[in-house]
Amino acid sequence: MSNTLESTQSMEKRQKKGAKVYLIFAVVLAFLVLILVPVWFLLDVVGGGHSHGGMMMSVEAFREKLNTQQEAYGLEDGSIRPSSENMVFIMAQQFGFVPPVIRLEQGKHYDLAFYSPDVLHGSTLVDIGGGTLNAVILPHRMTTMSLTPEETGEIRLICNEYCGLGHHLMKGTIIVEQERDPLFPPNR
Amino acid sequence: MNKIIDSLWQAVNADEQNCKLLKAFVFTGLITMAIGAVFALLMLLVRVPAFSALSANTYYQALTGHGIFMFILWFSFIQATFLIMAGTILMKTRLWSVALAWVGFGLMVGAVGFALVGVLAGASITYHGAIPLAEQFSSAWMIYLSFILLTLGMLLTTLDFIMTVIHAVEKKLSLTSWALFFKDIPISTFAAIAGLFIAIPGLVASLKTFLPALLWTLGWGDIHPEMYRMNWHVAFHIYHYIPALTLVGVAYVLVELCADAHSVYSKKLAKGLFLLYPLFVPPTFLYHLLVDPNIPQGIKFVGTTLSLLVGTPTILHMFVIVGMLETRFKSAGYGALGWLRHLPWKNPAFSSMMMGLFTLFIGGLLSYMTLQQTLAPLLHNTFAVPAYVHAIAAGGANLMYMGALYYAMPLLWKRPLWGMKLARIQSYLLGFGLLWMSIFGVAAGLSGVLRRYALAGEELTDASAQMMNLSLGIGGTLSLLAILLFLLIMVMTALHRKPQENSQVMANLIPTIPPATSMIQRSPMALIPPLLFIIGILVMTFFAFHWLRSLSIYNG
Repeated sequence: MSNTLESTQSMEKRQKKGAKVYLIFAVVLAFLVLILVPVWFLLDVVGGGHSHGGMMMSVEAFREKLNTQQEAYGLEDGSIRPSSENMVFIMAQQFGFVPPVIRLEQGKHYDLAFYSPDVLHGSTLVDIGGGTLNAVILPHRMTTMSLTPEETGEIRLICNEYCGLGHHLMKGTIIVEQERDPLFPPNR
Repeated sequence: MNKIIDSLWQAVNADEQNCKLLKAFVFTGLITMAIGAVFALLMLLVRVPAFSALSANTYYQALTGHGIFMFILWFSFIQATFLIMAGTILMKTRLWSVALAWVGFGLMVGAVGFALVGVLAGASITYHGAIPLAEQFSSAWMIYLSFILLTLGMLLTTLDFIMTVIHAVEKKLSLTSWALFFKDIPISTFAAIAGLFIAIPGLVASLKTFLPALLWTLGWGDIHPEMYRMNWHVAFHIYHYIPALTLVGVAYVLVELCADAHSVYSKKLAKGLFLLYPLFVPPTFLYHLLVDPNIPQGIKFVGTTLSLLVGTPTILHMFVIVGMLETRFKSAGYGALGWLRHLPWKNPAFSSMMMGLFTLFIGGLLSYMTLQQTLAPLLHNTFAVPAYVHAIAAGGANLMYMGALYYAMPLLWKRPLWGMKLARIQSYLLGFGLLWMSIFGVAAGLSGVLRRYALAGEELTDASAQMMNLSLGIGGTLSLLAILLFLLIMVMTALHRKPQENSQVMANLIPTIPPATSMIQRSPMALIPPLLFIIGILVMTFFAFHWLRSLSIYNG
């Protein structure tokens, strides 16, 4: 009788000890979510971020930049073909992007600077083969998205932040053109 | 008769006033859910490419209504119900002041009224109510007023709960008395108390956000859009973690009720884990702002790293809860895998809880992609976000709450559950529908479909359109059917028979589990979900970075 009691007690003890071991494993696993931090270093993506900027600006100042850009790079069809050496200014407003069509050169690095004169907007670049990159555009503050388009074709530009009843109408286009021959730049 | 159910039955019957109050909260909550479901249907009709019906205006109206009624109002009413239950029925005490709770309830009903009239009058500002957009909608003030009334109502209910707790402690100034109290109360009541540490700051943040907004819409005072945005995100972040804590608190009640399972660890551990939420939740609000241009990269890095810990308390609770089931069933003599088969899968409350845990697991996995800083631009405001949020909220929290209502309805209305056979399929249908919607929804989001967007067809590639047909067309429709089925079961339970003065009405919900014959306390199988979770986030992170780098416009 006492033997049985003893063995029950020792079994209980063993069970409790075993339970604790599993609990410790669970705690380790629950904190192992932090393993993503070394993974970011391993993948070399720490501090990466597609959008940046954040400079405040008045609507007038931004419009002036747009006008200068239009004069320098505007084409007859209403699009612009900006130089990769300057920032590309894009006004995001209810309910459209100005300029609506932007021509970029394949393989060159561009900084697109978005600005909203009215409400909160967002900029979505839809890649040629699907997939998007997204950023927030706060009113009166510049959001910069950098890109080096590798393929020719059309990158669609869409507003991704609900900005009123015409939100879904707010669209633009980025046309990625073939690398230009430096000796024969295309006619403006 | 089952001991726990008997004691619940007695506690409910001992206080008729409290029972009436709880019925009012549950009933109004179900109405808000029904209204939210109607808005969901309207949204489906626009966003499923195969339907593509209705106008953009209707879509934005339904979007505003669906978010407010499902996510804000339904959750508020049901969580207020659980708070009162945790302070009364579970603790076997009376509410400090029933009148105060009624005033709180009245304010919350006012919130429902203003929200509905506001949405129908065309205040399509979504639950963000972003500024300065709101000034373009003349009825926007009603939405802010609704949020303020809701906050005040919940503050009163919370205050009532706090006073009930204080009242229940024998010697209010004695630390020993408090220690004894915290030791004695059920895990779920302790969860509610721990929840106060996030709920109260959340409610205060809500007032700080919406009061100036209301005054601004009425022409008084000025408001800075970025200040509003920051305040809104702080309030919202805290608000949407209340379900995360509540659902776990409810799960502890359900495992005992449905499976007669008790914690093998000291209750202290489970209680202590709830204190991790107030510690881990508030500092992580930054993950909503990872693609904002005005936040320095360094701060974003700290924010994204802290965010990783947001799931830690829940992962540990899941281990404890699954472990409770494993040890209970193994102690009854079932084998290493046999215990899984013998779980009470036919009990609708249990299946609801398990489907809730499962959808929470999948939604949680997907969520770990969006809270990584470098991946955020890939997913921000794409359809992937509502897709995983539905697995977590409409799945995890909502299914858990439905599970609790499968017991609460017969208890409060004193009638047997109507449509047991339908109830048995309801949770599986909802769980399956939501998972289907989530998985294909995330795929749609990755392919470029945006959220909160009134178009479905013309702007999509064929592949994206197919993903949306699968996600919302099939998954969304099935989920909606399951919600309607749930509402039918609840309404019929309340109406179809006369109330009975006997706990026999609960007979078909009593667990029939063989008694424990040995004492098994080890729970190796309970380690599998956390292990799969870690493997899952690693695999998905590698996949997501691969996808990001494959974009021709990515500038890594």
